[in-house]
Amino acid sequence: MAHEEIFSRVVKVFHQVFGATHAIGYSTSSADLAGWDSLNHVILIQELEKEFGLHFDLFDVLELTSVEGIVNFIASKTAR
Amino acid sequence: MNKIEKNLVDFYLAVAQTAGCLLYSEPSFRAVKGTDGGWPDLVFAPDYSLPPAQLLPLVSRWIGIHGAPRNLVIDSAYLNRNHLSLLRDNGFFPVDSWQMMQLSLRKTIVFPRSAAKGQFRELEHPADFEQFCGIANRELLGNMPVSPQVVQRLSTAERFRFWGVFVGEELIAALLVFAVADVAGLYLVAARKEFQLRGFGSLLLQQTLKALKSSAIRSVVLHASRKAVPLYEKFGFANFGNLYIYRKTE
Repeated sequence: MAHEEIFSRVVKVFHQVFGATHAIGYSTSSADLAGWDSLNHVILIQELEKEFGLHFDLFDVLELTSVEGIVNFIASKTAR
Repeated sequence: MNKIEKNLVDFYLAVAQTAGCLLYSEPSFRAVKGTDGGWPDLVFAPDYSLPPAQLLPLVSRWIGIHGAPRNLVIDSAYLNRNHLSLLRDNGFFPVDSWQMMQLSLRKTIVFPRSAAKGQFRELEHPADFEQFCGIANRELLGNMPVSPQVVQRLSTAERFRFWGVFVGEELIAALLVFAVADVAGLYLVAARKEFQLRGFGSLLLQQTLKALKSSAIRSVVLHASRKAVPLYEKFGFANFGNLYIYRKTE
């Protein structure tokens, strides 16, 4: 799956979880997106799993704190 | 249980007793719950002699019955990658990790330089505590905010001390010290976002350590987020393992 396609689907999930008014870019991270706290992180991961039909490793979940990281991670999973 | 985990357990027990939070003492773990979903909200002090296959379903069922607290803190040495399916089956996701760190005050500490200028003092006025809550909630606690009432109650107990760095009347960085015998734990260490990476955290830590060194405290312990580890390492704090925070989902 191309990075661009993954990115646009990731943005869609972000808008579902955090609301459509947030501007989401590759550099968006948990440090600068209001509301990306531990509770919403769990919801976000669950929604991403549903969207991409993937099962994230529990310990990878902790590393996925930026949009870029998430896109790269999904790209590596779907390339296999 | 090491000195660092012991301080954490004592800390949450003392918070529950002092701030009037709910404290559950179950045979295999303890839990503390603030009012209205606020801080604290944690299952802690698990019985590490139980195998994870026994403990996790127990905690999971208990959370299902009692609602919050949904956050479970466990030493990373106890639960590892071998337990992934067990964690998932019981609805637990890791949401954070803390490094357990410790510094001995018996030796000389070389303080890193800080260019920040501010006044270090104990928090004492209601306005100070409101500012403290603002910083802690924005920078650390997010969906489980600490209330000024809880903070003010803690501030009246001898074992809790709130210190901060002010510029004028504005609180820039602050922390909570919890002392048991000669061990002090640092909690809720945070700086206002717009002042981060400008030396205020260093200044706060330096002044706090100086104040503790001149008292009966001989070692300082804390739980550092990954982001904060480099700052503590500069002061000589050493790592003694990790704690993971798991969140139970619906």
